[in-house]
Amino acid sequence: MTTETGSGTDSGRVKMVGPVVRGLDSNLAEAVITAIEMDNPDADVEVDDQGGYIRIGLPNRCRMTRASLEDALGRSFHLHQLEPSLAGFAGRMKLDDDEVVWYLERQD
Amino acid sequence: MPRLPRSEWYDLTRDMNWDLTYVTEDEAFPPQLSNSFGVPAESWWTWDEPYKITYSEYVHNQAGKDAGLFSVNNVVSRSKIFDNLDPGWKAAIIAHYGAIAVAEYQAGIGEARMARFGRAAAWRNMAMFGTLDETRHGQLQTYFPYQALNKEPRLDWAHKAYHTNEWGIIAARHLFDDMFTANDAVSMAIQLTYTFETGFTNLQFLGMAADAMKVGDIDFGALISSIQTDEARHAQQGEPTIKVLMKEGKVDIAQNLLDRMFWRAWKLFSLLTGLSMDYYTPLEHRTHSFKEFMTEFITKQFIDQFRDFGLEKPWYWDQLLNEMEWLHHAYHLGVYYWRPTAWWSPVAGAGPAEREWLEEKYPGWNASFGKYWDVMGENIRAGHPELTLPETFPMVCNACQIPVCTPAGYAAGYLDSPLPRILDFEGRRYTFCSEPCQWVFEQSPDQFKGHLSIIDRFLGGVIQPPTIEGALAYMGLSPEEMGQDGTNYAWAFEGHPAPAAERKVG
Ligand SMILES: [Fe+2]
Ligand SMILES: [Fe+2]
Repeated sequence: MTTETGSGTDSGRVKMVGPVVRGLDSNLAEAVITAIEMDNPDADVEVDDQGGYIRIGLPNRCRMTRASLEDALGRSFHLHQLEPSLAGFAGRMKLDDDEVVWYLERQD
Repeated sequence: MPRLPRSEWYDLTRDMNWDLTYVTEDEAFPPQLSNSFGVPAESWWTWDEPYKITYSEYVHNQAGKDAGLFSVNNVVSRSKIFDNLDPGWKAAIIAHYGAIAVAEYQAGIGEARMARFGRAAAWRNMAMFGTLDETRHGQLQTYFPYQALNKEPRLDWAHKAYHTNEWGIIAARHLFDDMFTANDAVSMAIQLTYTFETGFTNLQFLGMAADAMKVGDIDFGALISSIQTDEARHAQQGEPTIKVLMKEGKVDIAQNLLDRMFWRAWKLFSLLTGLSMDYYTPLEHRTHSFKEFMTEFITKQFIDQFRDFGLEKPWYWDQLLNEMEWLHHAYHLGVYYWRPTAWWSPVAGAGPAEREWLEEKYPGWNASFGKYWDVMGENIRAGHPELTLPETFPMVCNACQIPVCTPAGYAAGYLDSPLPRILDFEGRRYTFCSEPCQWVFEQSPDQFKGHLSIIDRFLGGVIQPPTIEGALAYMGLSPEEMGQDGTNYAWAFEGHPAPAAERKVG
């Protein structure tokens, strides 16, 4: 672990990835957290609620399926409908019909 | 809606790339508007966006975003909210609207350029959405302040600012012209959508949304976080553009474009967001310090992303970390001191409780920057607020166009020398606040060499009469619009009980 500001090398710092959800959409944010917990059973999901935004993250790879999100919401939902609540994200994002993945590949 | 899953038809309907026969490639994509950096046309056609959306989905989403936003706006009534806002928060949002609203329309010009001159159909499609997004941002951020214009005439600067030569606006215009208004489509994908929107806009649009919710300005928080959902999508034009350049061995070009704009964005956002977060937002509502937000969004989230594409930290990384400790404290002192040159009324944010917070977040603040506020507080308490106002102007950097703060950085122990950097180039002398700013200039001197900073204009006779009053008029600031102490000097008396009669200052 290096310093908070990341001076010098960053190697050793755990890289967190995942969505940053708008704070005004707390129902959806709850469902996203539940779905991510379901789809990433081996990882500890970190939730940082800043009021204006909610950062949801786990190390290196974060997957969320449409099926889990629909389960959590109790209604049908297309993943492109995430956009009005998705204020940002950490990592890179891949979105298709059935799942969205936030990820980073580089190891160092 | 089609019954096929989107993934089975999307790429086919999206891609309409042409083999040119009637015109040359340079005629269809002039390098000034779209620099291919030597990458052949077919390679650009492999451009593939990570975040796919159809036009009908786009329209549906955007309509929903506005419906949600306006239901908040209708309930809270901007004009009533405004009365109850803290003076510091007012400073933050009046500064925001002036610096951002019309720049959004200009970003729309940039997106429209990519929508025509982007080098792949998929890219042009995303940029078309981006054009509509930025138009939305311009409209929303001129309309929301308009609603409280009867309470605060300076909200008019949401529209007016970019039509003036106010010094902060000269700096913002210089940056944004470089980044989009006068940039080519390919460089813009790296510099606007990637460096700026994936990186820095998060600070002002999400960091400040967090503070807005704590302050109770739900309207503003809803507005800027809704805008950022558009940015998060159209910022995705950066990744595939970087990928194409990397695949063609153009890593140095991508890195250079990133390095130049990253530094420039840092400078302007430490001025805008730095002051808003660490001084203007009321202490009890601050979520994080500016440095903490920088760490979260830039030195972790953003750096992880661009390193994942095979890019590296800019060469001046240590200088960035150094400036993160002190630069915006120096900017705040300057903006407060030269407050008649701002279109908002800055608050000092230097009462005893604020100072304790600053010392905790930036150890050493009291001994370095605090001592300037000691002197200003003494002058105010002694009945001489005029001593906290300027009689001359500072030097301004010929790259970032922001006053040179090296003396303050030196006095605070962060720099080895108080002197600015000097460059003599083609018979003219240029001044820079930092090594990376000089480097930015030297990357593209023909682009920058003819520009006159506000001080060049002052000394060169462009500003008449060459007095403080003449300069303020040149900046478009009438006496009613000029910034004053946002709390009418109340901060200077906190912890210094004084009879009410003695408090008549200003
Ligand atoms: Fe925008
Ligand atoms: Fe944008």
